[in-house]
Amino acid sequence: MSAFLLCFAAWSAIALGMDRHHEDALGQEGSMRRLVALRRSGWLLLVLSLWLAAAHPPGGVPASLGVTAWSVALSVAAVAVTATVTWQPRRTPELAGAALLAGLLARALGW
Amino acid sequence: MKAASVDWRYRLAITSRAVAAIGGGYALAAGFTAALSLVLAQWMPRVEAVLTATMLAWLAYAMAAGWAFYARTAWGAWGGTLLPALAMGACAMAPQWMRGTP
Amino acid sequence: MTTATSTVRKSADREGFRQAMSWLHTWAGLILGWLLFAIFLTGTLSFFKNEFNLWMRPEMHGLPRTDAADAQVAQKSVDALVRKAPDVTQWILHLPDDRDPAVNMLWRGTGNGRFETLRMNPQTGEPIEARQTMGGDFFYRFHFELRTAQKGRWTIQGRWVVGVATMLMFVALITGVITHRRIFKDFFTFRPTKGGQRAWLDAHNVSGVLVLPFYLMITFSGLMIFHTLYMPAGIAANYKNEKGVDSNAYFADLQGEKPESRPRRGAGDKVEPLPAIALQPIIDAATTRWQGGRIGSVQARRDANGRAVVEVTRHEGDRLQYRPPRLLFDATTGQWLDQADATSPAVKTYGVLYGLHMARFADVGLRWALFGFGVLGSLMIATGMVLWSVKRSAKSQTQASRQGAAKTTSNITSNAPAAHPKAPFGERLVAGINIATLAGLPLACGVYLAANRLIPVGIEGRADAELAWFFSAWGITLLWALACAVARPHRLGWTVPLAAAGLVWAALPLINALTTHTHLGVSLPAREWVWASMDLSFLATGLLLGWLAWRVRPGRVPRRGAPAKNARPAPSVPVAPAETSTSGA
Repeated sequence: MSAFLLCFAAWSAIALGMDRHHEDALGQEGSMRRLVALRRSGWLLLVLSLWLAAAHPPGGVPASLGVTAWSVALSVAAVAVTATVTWQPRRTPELAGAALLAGLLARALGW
Repeated sequence: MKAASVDWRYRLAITSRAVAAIGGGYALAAGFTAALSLVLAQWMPRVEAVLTATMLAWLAYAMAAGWAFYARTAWGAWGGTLLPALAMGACAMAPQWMRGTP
Repeated sequence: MTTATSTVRKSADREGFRQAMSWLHTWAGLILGWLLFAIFLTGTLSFFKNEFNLWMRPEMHGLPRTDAADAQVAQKSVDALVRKAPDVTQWILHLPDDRDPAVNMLWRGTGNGRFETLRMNPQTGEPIEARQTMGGDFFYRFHFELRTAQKGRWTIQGRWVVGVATMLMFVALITGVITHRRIFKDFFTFRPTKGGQRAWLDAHNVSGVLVLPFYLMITFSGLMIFHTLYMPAGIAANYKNEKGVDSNAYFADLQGEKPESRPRRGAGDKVEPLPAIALQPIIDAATTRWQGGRIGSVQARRDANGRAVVEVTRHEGDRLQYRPPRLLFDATTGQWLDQADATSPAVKTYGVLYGLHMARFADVGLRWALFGFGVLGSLMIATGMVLWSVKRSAKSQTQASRQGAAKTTSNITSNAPAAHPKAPFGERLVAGINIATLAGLPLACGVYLAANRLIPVGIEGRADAELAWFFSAWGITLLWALACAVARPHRLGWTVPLAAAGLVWAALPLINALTTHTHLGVSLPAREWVWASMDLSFLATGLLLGWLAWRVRPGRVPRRGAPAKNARPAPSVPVAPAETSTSGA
């Protein structure tokens, strides 16, 4: 669960770091610096969630299962973010923030 | 791709490339599997060698199919698939021929 | 073929390469696209094959939940089997688990014949008389060997055809990635309101790219699962013996076990019946060795030396790698003999690929996610085929209108409609096949499930009768589609089968209520989630298909053009003049 939420936040950041989606979501073009920063933090968050899944897999399952579950979550989150930027673009930043917090909380709780 | 004209030359070329991709590609992949697995078997248990070679062979097949349609001419397509296939097949059969066993 | 122009050779080369790969992508995908859709869809349904098996045997409802490691379950079942068939020579007993409450017993009384199946009550060991059906195993076996009958004999040929389709899918995936120019920029881009080719292309790209790791894994692992059939050259080169190829040795190496423990027997070989076996000590010993591990199945057979052995296999859901480890015991003394498991790196990789494909490791949440990926994959194939149709019909219409305009000499006020020639045969054929497969297969699956409830229990050849309903529904859709494509292509071609499918799937919970005691009225109050979620999922599927049928109905003018921010959130149907529409839409 935490993998999905963190990946959702990460993909959202990457999406918002693209011209088209940034404009749809925030109504204005982002500066180059902001876009790059968003994309970079998105990728970093993806790597972080992968590391968490491999090093501290939830439920005490072996790392292989943790990584497999992470890759499934990765794609599910990508689909979810695509749906969000297509049909609720202006809510994307808030949902991303909520997902980040929820993801960290879920991780702390061991999900 | 140009619209399907009734040019028989064009259709022949496409068919030729397709056969090169499907048949020639398969021959290439099979030769690749046999040759590579024999080489790898020098350093690892044969089941390991066979599996490694087989897994890589699928990529070789895909690349051969891509080549068959990228090559400048249909002859080039065959050259890029059948020749390596024969070469690798020969490598795979070489130990047997050297030993003289049927 | 494009020839590289001299100016910027490198980028022109890249463009030439991309164009060639684009052409290859189109044709690799198109030739067997309809079969790929069928393979992908039935494979997706197979993720829930255990649940389908249960739903399609309502006689299994209400079985008690038992602890599978309880040796009494196994012993009682084997005793019941031996009472029924005293000279059984081999049996394989699958213990109940969270997805299947019954004992599944496969057995045979000859050296190498087909296995019979018995389902048994875990508490009493008595056989359950369930209706004769292939259940979810039909989707499973159709998926990888195009099985058309319960005791089908063309399985090897079917696997070959599936193999060809898989290789084409592999090529289509790789060339698709090469062709997709802005794969990162367009990663999240889906513009359903734009309509026409753009919307279909977006749908194809998005369903393709977001889940790409899954598709690559599924396709490559599919090729590797049957590699002994598809690419045996390595085995032939390395496993020679005096008689030719020692395939038994290879299979033994692949499974991590000794060749003698897997005897290869001829059809007429005489095998001694099994002796009486005390299972309790064996199962206890296995449970101790696998502290915390679940037992999946227990098997008894005679090895190559005629010794009666018992093999305890761990539950397939306990790890990624397939096959699970197995413990070998002497049947008469109960002494532990060996553990069979593949441990070397390449064999483990093969095992993990196999295990990922079959997803036995997946719990409920992961399983639904993988099911969703399968649906997206089917959509990817479907949108690809529709996209081709839409593109071609657009092209042939511009050609036709150009020809028409050239022909009109003095007619300046060209409100006189230019002659709308029929679209070329190939286009209409593809349009027809699209309808027959993309709408017909969902309809056929629904009909198969309905047949399970409607065909009387106990008649001869019942399982094949259910399959007959399945293939008939598919065939009728094909006839309908060809009639529409040949005679008069129009949107009704899509609407009718989709609406029929929606009707059938949505009606399934009702049919269930009228014919069995496993319907929602029973399962919801009792919180039997497996049974309830099947019925609810069927209802949802029916509603979804019905909604699709509604959206493509003739006479509907889809919105297109300005993608306003509050545009209706739904994919629009490609617009084409009614008479010459060849996509049927």
